[in-house]
Amino acid sequence: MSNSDQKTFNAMSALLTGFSEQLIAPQVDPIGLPKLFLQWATDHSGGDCANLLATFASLQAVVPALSTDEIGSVIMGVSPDPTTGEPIDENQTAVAQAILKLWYLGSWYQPFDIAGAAKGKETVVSDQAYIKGLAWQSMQSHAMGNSTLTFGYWDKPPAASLQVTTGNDEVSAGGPPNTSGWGASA
Amino acid sequence: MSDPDYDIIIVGAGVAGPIIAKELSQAGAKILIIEGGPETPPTNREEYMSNFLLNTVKTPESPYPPGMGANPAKEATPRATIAQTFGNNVSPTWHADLGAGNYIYNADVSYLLQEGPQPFLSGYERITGGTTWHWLGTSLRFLEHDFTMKSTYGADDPDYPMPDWPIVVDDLLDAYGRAEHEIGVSADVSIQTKELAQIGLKYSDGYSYPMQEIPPSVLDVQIAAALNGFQDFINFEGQQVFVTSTPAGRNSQPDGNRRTCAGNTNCIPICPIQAKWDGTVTLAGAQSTGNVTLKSQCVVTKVVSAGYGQPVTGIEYIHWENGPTKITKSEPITATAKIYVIAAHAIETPKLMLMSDMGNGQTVANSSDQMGRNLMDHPLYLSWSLMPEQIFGFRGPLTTSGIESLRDGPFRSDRAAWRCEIGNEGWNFAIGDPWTTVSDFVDGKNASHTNANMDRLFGAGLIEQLNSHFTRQWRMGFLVEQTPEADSRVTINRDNGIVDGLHLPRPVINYKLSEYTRRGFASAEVFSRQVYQMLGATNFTRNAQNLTAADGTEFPNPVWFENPDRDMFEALPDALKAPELCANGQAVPDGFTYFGAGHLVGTYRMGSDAHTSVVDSHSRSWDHNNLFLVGDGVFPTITTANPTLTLAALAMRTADAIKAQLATTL
Repeated sequence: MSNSDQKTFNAMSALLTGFSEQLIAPQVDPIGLPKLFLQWATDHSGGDCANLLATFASLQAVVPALSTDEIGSVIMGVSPDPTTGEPIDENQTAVAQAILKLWYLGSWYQPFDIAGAAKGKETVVSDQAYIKGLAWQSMQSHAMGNSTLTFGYWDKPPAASLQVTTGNDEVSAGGPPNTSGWGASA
Repeated sequence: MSDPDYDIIIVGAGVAGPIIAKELSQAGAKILIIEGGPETPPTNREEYMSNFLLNTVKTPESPYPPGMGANPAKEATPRATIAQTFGNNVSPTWHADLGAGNYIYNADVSYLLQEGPQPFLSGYERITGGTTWHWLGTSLRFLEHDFTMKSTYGADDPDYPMPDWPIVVDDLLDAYGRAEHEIGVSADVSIQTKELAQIGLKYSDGYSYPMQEIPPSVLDVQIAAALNGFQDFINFEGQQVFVTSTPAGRNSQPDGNRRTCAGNTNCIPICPIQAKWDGTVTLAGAQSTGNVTLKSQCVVTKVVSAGYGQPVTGIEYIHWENGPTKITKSEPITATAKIYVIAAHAIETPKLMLMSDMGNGQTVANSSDQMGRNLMDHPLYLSWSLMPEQIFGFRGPLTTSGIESLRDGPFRSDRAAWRCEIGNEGWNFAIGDPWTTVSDFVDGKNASHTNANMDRLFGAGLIEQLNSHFTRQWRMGFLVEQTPEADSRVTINRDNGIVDGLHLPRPVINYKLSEYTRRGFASAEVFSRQVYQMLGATNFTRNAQNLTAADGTEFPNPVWFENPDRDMFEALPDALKAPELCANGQAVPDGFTYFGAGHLVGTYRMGSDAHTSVVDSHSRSWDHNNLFLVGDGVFPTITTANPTLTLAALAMRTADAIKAQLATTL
C-alpha cells in the first residue's frame, strides 16, 4: 500500500467516522489499525477499495470544493456524484460501509461475495480492532472486557465529554434520539 | 474387601464440588475430584480472553472450549446449545416434526436433544470451575416463604404446584454465612434488611458480609429515585417497591491475589481480571491442603451399586485427550471411596445416574422414579427501553441493583413471582448492541427498530445518533419462578443412535412452562409499563411470534408462547395501553418470548419422603447411604433468586453431614 493510499484512506476514515484523524490515525501509532484496516479492505474487496479511494480523492479535488457532508453523502450512496449526476458504484459504497463498521466495531462484514468469503461473513480482524472500536468511544465508555477505569467509576457520569472521546469539537452530546417515530416498523 | 482408594470421590469441579472438597480436605479427608472437562490453570484465562476478543459471537460460552460450531458427536464434553445462537438451526417445520426422533434444534449443533414442547434455553460449561466462569456473581439469599410455598400459599389447594422444602430458612442461615464468606460476597446487611425484611430476607444475629457493597450505577440511582416507596403497582396490592443493591460475588476490595472489580462490564462471558469469584478459587484452596487429587478430562460413565439399600461401591470413568484427528480415550477405569459425591449439575448428574444401570433393570438412586424430573430454569422476560435522559449504560458490572421487594406476596397462590434485575449493559443482551444499532445506522437497516426511516449516517451525525441511543439504553430482566413439572425432564435414550464423542448417550430434554409460570410473564409486562410511565421511558421490547427462514417464509418461534391472561391487559387504564409503553406496541399482547437464565435446577429433588424425592435434606440419596447428589438439582422449587449462593450453602450443609458420617465409619 502506498503512502498516498494510506493518507487517502485515513482522511476518508476520519470523514466517515466523524472522529478526528489525529485520534484514529495518530502519527506515532504502535497499534497500527489504519494500516491493518486498509490492508484488510483491499484484500477483501477485489479492486473496489482502490476504486473507492480514487473516487474519494476525486471528490476532494472538485472545484469549487465540496463540503465534508457532501462528500460523505456521495460515498455513502445517499446523494449522487455531482460530477456525473449518478450515484457512485454500489460496490464502492458497500466497501465504504464495511470500512465504517470496521472502525466502529472491529469486525469486517464482507460486503459482497469474493473468492473465499461470502457476503455477510463477519471477522474480528484483531483483538485491538475490537478493543479500540469507535462504538465504545461514541458511548463514552470502554470495550466490554477492557475497562481502563477503576472500582466504582460507574456511579458517576463519564468524566470525558463526547468531544474528547471523539476528538471532534463539532459533535453535541445528549440530544434526543431520532427513532423515526415509534412503531413505524414492527 | 480391600481398602478404598480415597475417603471421598467428587464428580464435578464447579461450585459444590470444590466447596465440599475444601471443607473436608481441611479436616484431613483424602479426596479425588473427577472433572469431565479440561483443567484451567491461571494462564488459561488469557487464552480464554483471546477467544472472547476474536469471537464474532460474544455469547456466554464464546471464550470456552469446545469451539462454538463444534459437532457434539465429535466432542468428549460437548456444550449444551444456546438457542439464540443457533436460531438458524431451527427447522421451519420443527413444531410439526417433534417426537419420533426429531428435535427442535439440529442434533449436529445441539448436544441436548430437545423434544419440547418448548425449548430449554440454558447451557453450562464442562471445564474446571464449571459455569462460574460466566456467572453474574449475583448472590441473593432465598426468602422465608421460598421454603414453605405449599403450606403458605397452597395449603388448601390440592393442585398447587409448589412443594415445601424439607428445611426452612433458619436451617440455612449459618450455611449462607459460610457460603458468602467462601465466595466473598460484597453487600451490606443493613441495606438489605432495611427494605427487604418485609419479604422475609433473614440473617443470623450480628451477621456482616465479608466485603462492603458494590456502588450503584447512574442508572440504578435514577430508577430508585423514581420508584422507591411507590406502592400502587397493579397486581401487587399495596406492596412497596424498592431498588436495592445486589449482593455480588465480586470484589469490592482485593481478596487474596485477586483484584478489585474494575467495571469491565463483562462478568459474562468472562471477567478479564478474576475480580469475580469462580469455582477455581475454592478449588485452589482445597488443593493447597495436599489432600486433593484432581483428574481432569475424565468423564464418569457409571456409578456402581448392587441395589437399593446397598452402598455405592465404585465409579467408572474414561480419560480422554484430543488427538490430531480424533479423540483418544482410555479403557474404563474404576475408582473407589467411602463416600461418593456427584456434583455434575442438573443435566449431567441425572444423565450419569440414568446411565448407571444396576443390572436388574433399575438405575442407581432412582427408587422414587423422580431422577431427571422437575427440570427448571428461570425463564427470563427481557424488557428494554430508551430513557428520556442519558444514564450511561455499558459501564460498571453487568448488574449492580435489582427490584427484590416483589419476590414474595399473596399473589404466589395463583401466579409466578419474579425478581427484576436491572442491567448496566444497554441493549447488549437485548439486541446484541453495539453491533446491531451501529450496523443499522451505517447500512440503513432497522433490526433495532430504532431506525424506521432507514437513515444511513456518517460523521458527526452518526456519532450523535449513536451517543444518544447508547447512553439511554437499558433493560430489565425478570427471572420468573417456574413450577416443577414431572414431565419437564432429562432422560437418556440408548436406542436413538445419537451419541457424543465418547459414544455416550446424550441428554434428551422435555420442557414446558406452566400456566402459573406464564402468568408471571404477564404481570412482568404490566409492571414494566408502569415503570416506563414513571420514568418517561419508551419501550422497544419485541416478542417475536415468528422467525423467518432463509427462503423468507415465516414459521413459529419456539421461544414464543401465547398471552395467558388477556383480561389482565383489557382491564388496564388507557394510559398503560399507550404503544410507547407496551412490548410490540400491543395494548393486549398476543404473547411473550423467553430467554434462559443459565439456572439449571431441580432434577434430583430433596424432600422428606423417599417415595417422592431423590435425596434427603442433606443431599444424601435415600437409596444409597454413601452417595450424595449435590448442586441446585436438589432444589424442590427454583424460587426467584439466582441459585448459586443457595447451592453453595447447601454444599456446606452436605459437607457437615459427610464429616459426621466419615467420623462414624473411620
